[in-house]
Parts: sequence; structure tokens; C-alpha cells
Amino acid sequence: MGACPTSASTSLTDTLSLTQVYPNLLSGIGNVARVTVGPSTTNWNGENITETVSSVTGTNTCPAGLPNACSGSTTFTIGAGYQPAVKEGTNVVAVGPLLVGTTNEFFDQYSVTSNQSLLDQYGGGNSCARKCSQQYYCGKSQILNHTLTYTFTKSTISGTKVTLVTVAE
Amino acid sequence: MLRGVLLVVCVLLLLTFAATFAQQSSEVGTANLYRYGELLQQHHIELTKSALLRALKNSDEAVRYLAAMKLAEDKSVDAIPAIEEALAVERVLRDRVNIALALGLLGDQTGPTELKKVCAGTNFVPEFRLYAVRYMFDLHFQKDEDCLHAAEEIVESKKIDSGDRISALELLQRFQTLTAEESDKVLKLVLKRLEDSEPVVRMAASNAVASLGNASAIPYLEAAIAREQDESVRSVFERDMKKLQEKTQP
Repeated sequence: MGACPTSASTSLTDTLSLTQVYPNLLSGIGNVARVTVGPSTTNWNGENITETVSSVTGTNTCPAGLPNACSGSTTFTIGAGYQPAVKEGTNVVAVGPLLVGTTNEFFDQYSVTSNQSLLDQYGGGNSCARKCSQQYYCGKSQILNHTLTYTFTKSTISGTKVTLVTVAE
Repeated sequence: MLRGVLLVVCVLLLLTFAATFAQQSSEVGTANLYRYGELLQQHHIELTKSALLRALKNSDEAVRYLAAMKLAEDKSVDAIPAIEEALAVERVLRDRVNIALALGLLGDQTGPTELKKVCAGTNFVPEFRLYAVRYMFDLHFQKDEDCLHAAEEIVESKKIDSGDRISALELLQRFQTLTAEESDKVLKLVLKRLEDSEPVVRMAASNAVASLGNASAIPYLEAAIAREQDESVRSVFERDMKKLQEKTQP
């Protein structure tokens, strides 16, 4: 592997809405983040970035049984374009707009889905939150260390109980 | 007789168990990001130029726009006439905006012209009008009047799905070179959504307020924090207030 970017900054740009996959899924889904790497004087397209994700202890207000959103081991390619999609049974269903590949940017997605309304299934009030810590690496060099918070909120779609998932930095 | 009763009891117990299990089992997952070629291959489409050109006429609507995007990703400028032809006959709105994006990425003006048309079309489904707004930014149009009006209308409408109101709130922050009057209108629309009946929309509005970075919004966000009943939502407001204060400090 050649040289690596040394910095990164994230911006949550695209909400993935549950209505796009309702009624097959009753919980979800989250956000797409656009991550810009630097220095911008170099074109980093094609370089791969890895991640580590873990829960921030003492911040989880969600009931036991809710999936641990703070996990992930994806390899991201800088400059590539994508279509976000979820698996519904054996089908892959597109959700949200196309993500256009941009120089020195890569996309990450923060999402949780379930075919049950998680807060209605596991209890825990009208909402709860879980904070995650995430690090991006190029090779062994860390280029970003940040936190993000998943919020699970009870709602209804056409009278059916659902749990909406949103993510904020 | 006893054997019959036992059989009925067993069947009832089995049915109860099955119903309970069906209710409790939940399939948990995440969204994934797929490369256009990866999804095309799942539809058994080869990634050669001739196969992609044929796929523009595929009966599967997902295949048609993915083929256009793969051709754009491959910078196949000579495919523009075929993609224009696909756009001209396309009836599915999601495909129309996605194919228009592909044309725009290849430098063809038909793409942004179509996207502007979709932004302006008040009868179109809000979700795809917002795709058009977003794609205009991807094509480096930082302020298109029709797309600005589309985002404003969707944020303002109470009849529109909360997911679309959230997307519109995100997009409103991205318009650049707005006049003072336009900026004022955008801020007012965003502040109004701090009172939305949906907690997720209130959180998105708070995030937009922080992102817009206008000090005059501070009292509105303070009032929203004071009246918010939901603890998780209030903590999002408080975090955004901190960001806004940091942004607007002299």
C-alpha cells in the first residue's frame, strides 16, 4: 500500500427513512455519512479505509435486547459511488438516493433494521439512545476518532407501531 | 374420547407456541452500501458495455438505472445517446431521476434539465423530488430556484411523511449564495419544525438549526429545550445548542 490520508471529517448527509421499507421492516433505519479525507492536495481515490466501532460505556439508555448498533468492520473505498439497500428476506431492496462517488470522499452508513418494532417489543419508554465510538484507519494509522449517537424513537406509520432510528454526531 | 381431547390440547399448545415464537423472533440487520456493478451482477447482468447498453431496456426498473449509473461510473461518454433514449421512454419516476443523474455525471445537459423539471413538479412524489434536489447538488448546482422551492414546500407541508420532511431539512442547509430574504425564510421554516409532532423531525430541525449557525436561533432552541418532554430528544437539542453556541461565538 502507498501513502495514506492523514485526516478525515464526517458529515451526516442522507437520512435513510423507514417509510421506504415499511411494512416489511418495522424498525430502522439510520443515516449515511460522507467522510472527507485529507490533505486535499492529493487525490486519495481508490485507497481503502477500515474501521473499528465500540459502545461508549455508561451512555446506553436502551433496554436489554435491542441490537448493539455499535459494531462494524467494513472496508471503505475512497471515491466510489453506491446504492444503499437493505435485505428483506432474500431480496435486496434499494433505499434512499444514489450516493455519487466524489474525489477524496467515502461513504459510511449507520443503520439498524428489524422486522419488529424494537421499542414496542423490548419496552424502554418512548425513546432511548446508544452512543458509539468509531475510529477510521488507513493501514495502521488512525485518521479519525469520533462518537455518534443512535436514537430509537417510537412512532407509527399508517397506524402501525414502529421504531424509528436516527443518528447524530 | 380422551385420546381426541388430548390431541386437540396438543394441537392448541403447538399453535400457541408457534404464535408466541413468531411474535418474538425478530430479524435484525443493517442497510448496506452496494456498488452499482455488484447489484447488477446480483441481477445476472454482465458488466461489459454492450450488456449495460442492453440493460437500459431491461424490464426490471432497478436494472435500468443501475446500468445507466455503471455506464456513468465507467465514463462511457459514447453511451449518452442510448441513455438519453432510455430517459425519454422511462415512466418510473425513481428511474427518471437516477438516469438523469447518470446523464449529468457524463456532462450531458439533459440530466440537470430533467432534474430541474422534477424539482418543479408539485405533483411528483416528494421522495423523488428530494432525490432531484440532492442530485443537483451532486452535479454542482449550488442553488437552483425550483429545487429550493421544492425543499421549502416539503419541509412546510404537514401532509408529507416525516422521512421526507427530515430529508428536506437536511437539504435546505446545503443551499449556498442565498439572498438575505431567502436565508431568513429557510431559518423560519426550520425553526417551525422544532415544534413538529414527530420527535424525529424535531431532532432533524435542531440539527439543521445548529448547522445553519445563525445566532438569532438560540432563543428558539432554548424554548424548544424547555418544552421538550422526551429526554432523548432534549439531549439532542442540548448537544445542538452547544454546537450552535460554539459556532456563533464572536
